[in-house]
Amino acid sequence: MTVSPTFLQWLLGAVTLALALLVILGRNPVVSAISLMGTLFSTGLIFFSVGAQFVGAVQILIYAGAISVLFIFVVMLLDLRPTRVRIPGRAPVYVFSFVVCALFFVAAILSVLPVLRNLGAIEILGLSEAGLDQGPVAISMQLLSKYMIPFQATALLLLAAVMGVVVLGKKNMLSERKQSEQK
Amino acid sequence: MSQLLWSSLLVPVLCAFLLTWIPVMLIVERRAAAWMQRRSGPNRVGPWGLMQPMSDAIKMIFKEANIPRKAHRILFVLAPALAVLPPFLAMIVIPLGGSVNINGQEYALQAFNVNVGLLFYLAITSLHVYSVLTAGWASNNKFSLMGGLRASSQMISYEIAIGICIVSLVMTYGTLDLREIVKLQEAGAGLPAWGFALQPIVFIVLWVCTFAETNRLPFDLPEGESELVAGYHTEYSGMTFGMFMLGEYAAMVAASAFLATLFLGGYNIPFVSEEALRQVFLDQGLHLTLASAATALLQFACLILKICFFMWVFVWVRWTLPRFRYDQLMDLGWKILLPIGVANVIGTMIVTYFLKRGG
Amino acid sequence: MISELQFLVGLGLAIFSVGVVGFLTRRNGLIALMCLELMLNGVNLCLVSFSRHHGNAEGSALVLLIVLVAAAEAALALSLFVSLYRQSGSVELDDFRLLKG
Repeated sequence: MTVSPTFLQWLLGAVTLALALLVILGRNPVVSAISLMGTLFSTGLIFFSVGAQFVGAVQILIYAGAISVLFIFVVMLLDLRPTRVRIPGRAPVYVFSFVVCALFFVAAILSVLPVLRNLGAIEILGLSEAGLDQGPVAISMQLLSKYMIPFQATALLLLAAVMGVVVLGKKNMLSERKQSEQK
Repeated sequence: MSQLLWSSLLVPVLCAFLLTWIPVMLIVERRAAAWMQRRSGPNRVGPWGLMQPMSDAIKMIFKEANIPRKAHRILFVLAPALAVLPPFLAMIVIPLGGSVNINGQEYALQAFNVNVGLLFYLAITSLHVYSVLTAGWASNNKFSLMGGLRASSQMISYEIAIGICIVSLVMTYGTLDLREIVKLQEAGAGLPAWGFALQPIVFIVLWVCTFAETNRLPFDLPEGESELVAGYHTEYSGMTFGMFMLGEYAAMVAASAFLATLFLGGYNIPFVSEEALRQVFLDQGLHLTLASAATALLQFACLILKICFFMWVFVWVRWTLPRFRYDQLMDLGWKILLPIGVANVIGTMIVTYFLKRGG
Repeated sequence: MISELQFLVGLGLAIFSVGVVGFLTRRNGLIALMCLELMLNGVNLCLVSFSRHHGNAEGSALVLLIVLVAAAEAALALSLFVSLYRQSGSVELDDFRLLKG
């Protein structure tokens, strides 16, 4: 039995795509950052609509709630002027990258979707069962058994990132040390 | 009746419920301030000044909503909307009362029954930062921008403390489902089953963080008028300013409901379980639907009383404590509340381990 | 009529492609970073839909890992850009061609 997307999912998908386009088309970096937040948030809502509630909540909490805040914070702090989307003399680059991406997209769609259509025909699990299996318990079982090492590695990575940010954020640590040594 | 229809019936009720709090809080806050400062307060409009919120609202609606010439127009208008949205969205996961039995089917008094309600609430309230940031930047004003940046760093800092607290809370309850959490605090066991007795430290830390999250005094640095004029809403006037105020009060109600759900037993009436209460109504000869509805309504009233308690503390604290300095605020968040939260997580871990092993 | 799985994977691919286009064309470093996040987001969408299709939580677990890595990456890259801005007053990627001679 195949399940076709609901009206709500079409709507959310359209909004997500439009906001994603606004990220790359907006002249003002602040507008880009805020539409990035919108994209991530509506993706989280799509996760909710397919029953992946835990992932959706985490997506909104971390992606839309924390990472995008960092982006907006930095963009506002740096006070960037609106930049031109098109820079004269670079037109070949735009055309080239756009064509490559369009080709990639079409090729991916053409190669993947027929396979998925066949998969969709043998979708044996009912909707509710498939949705229920993505609760916090199931995910943590995966994380703490099969993906234990990546999980721990991520923790280490976060620690390293925190230390790196602290070092970068300190203003001229080396020069300060030199000054204190001279005193 | 499908679950979807029931939810869509509940949502307007929920919105009306949240909106009703705002005029009430307006008059309560002003009269309480006057009472604490030995003034009369607004007492001219209507009996005892009770119609004051009405005249405030009329004033705000008819005042011109000025948009500064150099502001970013779209974001300037978007910001107040972003302030109002999160509290309303967050309220939909709060269980308001027990369930109503219609034709043998139990319908919970909760608009969106999600199994990760705790995380959902946190995720949605974390979006509140955007209104402040956007308002501060779009106004194109130094004071506004400073207010917005202060607010965002303050909110993010306190969110970390909240997250740590939630970890130990989840260890205690063993679920992220708000409805389950309320059920676990079921009144049959009496007061000791309530969350604040199980996790007193988390209760206090989370309560303090709530003040910072809702930008209320003593943590209203983002709008500290002595330094920043009015912070991020300096340039706002008329109803655009009114939306910010509406959002603030709605966020307070949502936060109070959240605290009540986690620590004060949610909609539970002390010492009376849902079944017992329903049985009392059934013994009166009421139909099952009516009896369950009456039970749910009583529980809802109980939740409202608990929200009232938290709201009153919000007002009380506002007119009692002076404002923190900005570095003191950050120190409190990072150097006091966060370590307390981490220590509490470790303690909870040890206790939970031995309890699990013993039982 | 397309199935839900096809719809979600198609949407994920589309968001990924939008991210790639933006990454290649925009010269603002911060916007390039945002496009990176868009690409990760497209991947997340695909992973969640596969996870739903198979009825287990493996894809969702991977999404959690991706989100954490993205958080670390965003924090580090943004602080790098802030210190770049402090030194040279710009985050335009074209301004950094020190090796061009």
